[in-house]
Amino acid sequence: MRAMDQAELREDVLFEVLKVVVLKKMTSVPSVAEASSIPMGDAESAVEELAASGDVVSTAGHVMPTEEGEARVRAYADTRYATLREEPAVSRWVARFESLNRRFLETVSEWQTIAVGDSRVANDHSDPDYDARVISKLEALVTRMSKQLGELSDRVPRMARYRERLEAALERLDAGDERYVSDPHLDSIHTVWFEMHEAVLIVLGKEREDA
Amino acid sequence: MTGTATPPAVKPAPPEAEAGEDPRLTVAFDEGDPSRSDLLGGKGAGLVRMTQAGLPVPPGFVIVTEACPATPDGWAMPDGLMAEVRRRVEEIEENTGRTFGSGPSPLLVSVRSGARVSMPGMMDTILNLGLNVHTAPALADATADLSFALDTYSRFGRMYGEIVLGADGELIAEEAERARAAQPSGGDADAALEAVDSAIQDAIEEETGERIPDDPFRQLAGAIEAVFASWNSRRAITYREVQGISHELGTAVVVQAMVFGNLGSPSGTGVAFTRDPATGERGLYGEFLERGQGEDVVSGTKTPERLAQAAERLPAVFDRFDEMAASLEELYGDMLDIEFTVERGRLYLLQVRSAKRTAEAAIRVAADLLDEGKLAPYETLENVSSAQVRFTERPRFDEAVVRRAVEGGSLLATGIGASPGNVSGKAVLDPERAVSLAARDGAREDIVLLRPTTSPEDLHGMVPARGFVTALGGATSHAAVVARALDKPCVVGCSSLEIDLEQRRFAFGGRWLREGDELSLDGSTGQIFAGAIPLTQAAISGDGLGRLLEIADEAAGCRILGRATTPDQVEGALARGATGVTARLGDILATEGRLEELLDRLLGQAEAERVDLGDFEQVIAELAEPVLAAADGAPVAFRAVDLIGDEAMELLDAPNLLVRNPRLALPLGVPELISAQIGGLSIAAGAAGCTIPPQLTVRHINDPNEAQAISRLAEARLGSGAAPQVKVGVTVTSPRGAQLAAQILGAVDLIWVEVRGLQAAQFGYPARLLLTREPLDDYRRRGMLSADPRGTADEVTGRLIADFVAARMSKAGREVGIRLTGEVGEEIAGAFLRAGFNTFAVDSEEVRPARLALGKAALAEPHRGASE
Repeated sequence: MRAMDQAELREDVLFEVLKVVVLKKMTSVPSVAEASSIPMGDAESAVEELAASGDVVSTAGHVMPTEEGEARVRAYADTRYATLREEPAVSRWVARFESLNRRFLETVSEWQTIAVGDSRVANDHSDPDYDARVISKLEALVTRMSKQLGELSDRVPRMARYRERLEAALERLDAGDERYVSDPHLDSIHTVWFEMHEAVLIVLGKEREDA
Repeated sequence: MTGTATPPAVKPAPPEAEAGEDPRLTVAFDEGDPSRSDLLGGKGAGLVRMTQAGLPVPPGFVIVTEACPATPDGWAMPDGLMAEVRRRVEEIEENTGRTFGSGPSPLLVSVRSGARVSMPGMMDTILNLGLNVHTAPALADATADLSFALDTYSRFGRMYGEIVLGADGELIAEEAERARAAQPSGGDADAALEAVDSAIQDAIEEETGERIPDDPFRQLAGAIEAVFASWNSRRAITYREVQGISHELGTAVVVQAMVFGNLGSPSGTGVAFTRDPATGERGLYGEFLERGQGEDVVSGTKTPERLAQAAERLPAVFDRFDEMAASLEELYGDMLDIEFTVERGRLYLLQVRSAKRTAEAAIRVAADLLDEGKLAPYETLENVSSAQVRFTERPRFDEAVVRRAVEGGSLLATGIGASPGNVSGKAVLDPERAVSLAARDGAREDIVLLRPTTSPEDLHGMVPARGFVTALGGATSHAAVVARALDKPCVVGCSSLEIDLEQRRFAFGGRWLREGDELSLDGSTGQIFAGAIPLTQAAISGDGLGRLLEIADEAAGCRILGRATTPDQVEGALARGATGVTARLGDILATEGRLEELLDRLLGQAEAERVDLGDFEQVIAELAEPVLAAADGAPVAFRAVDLIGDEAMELLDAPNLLVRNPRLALPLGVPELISAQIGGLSIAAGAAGCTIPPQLTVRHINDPNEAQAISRLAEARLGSGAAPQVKVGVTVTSPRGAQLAAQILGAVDLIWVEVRGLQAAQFGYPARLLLTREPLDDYRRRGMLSADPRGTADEVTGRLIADFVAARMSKAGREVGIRLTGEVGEEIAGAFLRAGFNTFAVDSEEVRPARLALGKAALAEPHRGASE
């Protein structure tokens, strides 16, 4: 696959910043920098550039998207990734992604709840055998997703960042901190996966089909 | 709920392996010593025990943990292992009349890892090992079922490819399925099997560069190596290092003959619970799939029938199943989950485990097992956890109101219940509004967030909301996962929900409501109602819990007081089985709106030598009397007004208070305040006709002189008669107070110890920090503290506790009570009980969990002592 050139990379930063602003509705340059892991200076000049083009409004430390900006995020992704979306290898990638995503959500659910006959109860983590099996499954899926993201990160460099974050969460889990499975207050495996899922949907121009 | 059930040890087998014999790396199920789980691993020991108890278990053997190479770098298979494995496989061949690696009746085996301790990263089970292009057709012939042979082969290829060779099993399965679909129906069996085989092998090779070996012994060697490799995997090593488990322990490997639920007739496979896991009701509960293999039931690819139906249809097979289930329960002393297979009318048990169950079922089953004589009292309590008792007390919708709501047409929709719990709140349509409403003036609004779907950017709005509803998604959607992680009720897949953000309104099935309208949702049933439904304390169904807690009370012999402020709360605590109650006079004053006037008087006389409290004594008498009356003769321990405790800090403007009257920071800074409370309580006790005098303790006492002063104040107010109307004492919150406990008890006969306050002071942390898991759990994981400030394992805390015990023991009639805050952990309750304390005060909702915890601790000790 063809790697990106400098101009495309810069455009990608602009798009990422705009995407964060659109998704967060009202935000600030530091939170944009944090959410996108773009250096503060770059995020700041990206916001200035977006304000100049009328995609965001930036006053008194608040950054808000304009209607044009909102429309542009999707339109941007539509043009930016149009050729990517057409590639036959990508539809196979998507099929694999969806299969991994489905299995991942099932596995996190198994971590949270246990089947009891026909219904499910909260996992009280009293059965180490069950927990060990679920964690092993989860780890195998994260490893596969990391590999999967690696295949795309040549074309969509920002995907590499999710890979790093997933692996960081996995390390915390390995060190015994089980909150890193699904705690929404932390950069847990589920938190990162959830964001990555959203990012993939935008790149591919797909609508979220579940909740 | 306890983890894996452990049946009581069967008679130990005679010592094996005489000196001079070959080193034995393997043990057959019928010859091992089931008590040696160090050698056999958990699973291996279980199978050995079941076999030797005469249960129908397919034959097999265990490669012992000693055979496992425990050197992460450059390990090799132990010498002679495969030769021994070959001999063991021959034994199974003789036993079953099947042959490994050839027809007409091929022997297939399962291989699984089995360390003594379970840990992530260990190899999962491989089924159907021994299949190849020769044995698969033989299997098709023997079962007269090509489709079954293809299924079995695909399953094996998927498991071996994924687990041993590291390919993605899902991909392998897809390729196998594609190859299979391309075969003409009714075509040649050999051709079909070959096509599936090469699809599987090619998929694995493409991903890993390897193929599944054809020789079944090489397959077996590969699987055994994979188990050893998993013990030495980075994950497993990290886990052991974090948990402090020795790398030398090693893992066992279990190799067992497969049986077939579709070989001949009658055959099938199923899962049975010995009781209903949802309700605990007696009687077998489960599913049976005729002509199916284990995975078919678990994976849900085919629809099984109810066990009861199967039993009616196939009486010969299920004839003695009930009896067997009952004797298994007796052997394991618990409700069980039994995986079984029937092969040509012969029943085999594949796995017997302690069954997962709801909290309600756990309580009922424990009580029933006791009745049936299957459990001793101590075992009965072990089968129920404090968390399960707490769960039964979770407030839920008033059932009568729910019924009326349904009848009255308030049920708006029924979606998929994705995270249990009942909640009412104002409907909010976007996360920004949820955040701003929740933050407004600190007055928390109860909010229910409604969204078409959920994206990561909704997270900040989900945190302050009490519950969520989404239009799309299923029980394993992102929204459901987040809701469960936050432990908040959630209904997903509510397809009739429409949201109109422009007009700030929403509809269920065309029935429009406005943002801000009240909604109620039930995260279990998925029901959504218009309007608020009140929550009530769940009625505890059946008397099971009551009986278990009576056993616990009898064993522990403790007095447990529940915290209460109002007469209603007093009744609530007593209804939960509290011996009595504790009440804070400061809280009572605040609840009744009488605290302000007291503060005004105190601040108005900051400089006065003698403080005039006006009718404060009468106020205390008036407010305490209903509490004493509600206690109806049960002991009541009051805590004197405390203006500097952390609860008071939140209520009052404490720093300002202390600038204006610094004396208020000292427990006896205003002695008149103590006298008035003693006087007020004595009036109330008289009016309520108390036979047991109420207690009054003063907080933050550090010195014997303070205790003496309190004693003198009581004498001055009550006279020095033999039976004073109020028993005065102190509450200790500091290490100094604890160290001087013996001297303090020389001046008063009563001390309450506030454990959380004491430990917080000892560590120099805010007391509030000790109420939550985080950030302390994380801090401990980082290795910053050698002992948990919330436990009693700390050496310094241990010494202080010993001081209290010694002080109490030194003279009869002295009373030392332990005050616990928040959730009462089984460990901490047990530690105090073992140290010799028998009087506890807990939050009212924690009365039942504390009774259980103390009972468990009391029963566990003598039992353990007796059996050793």
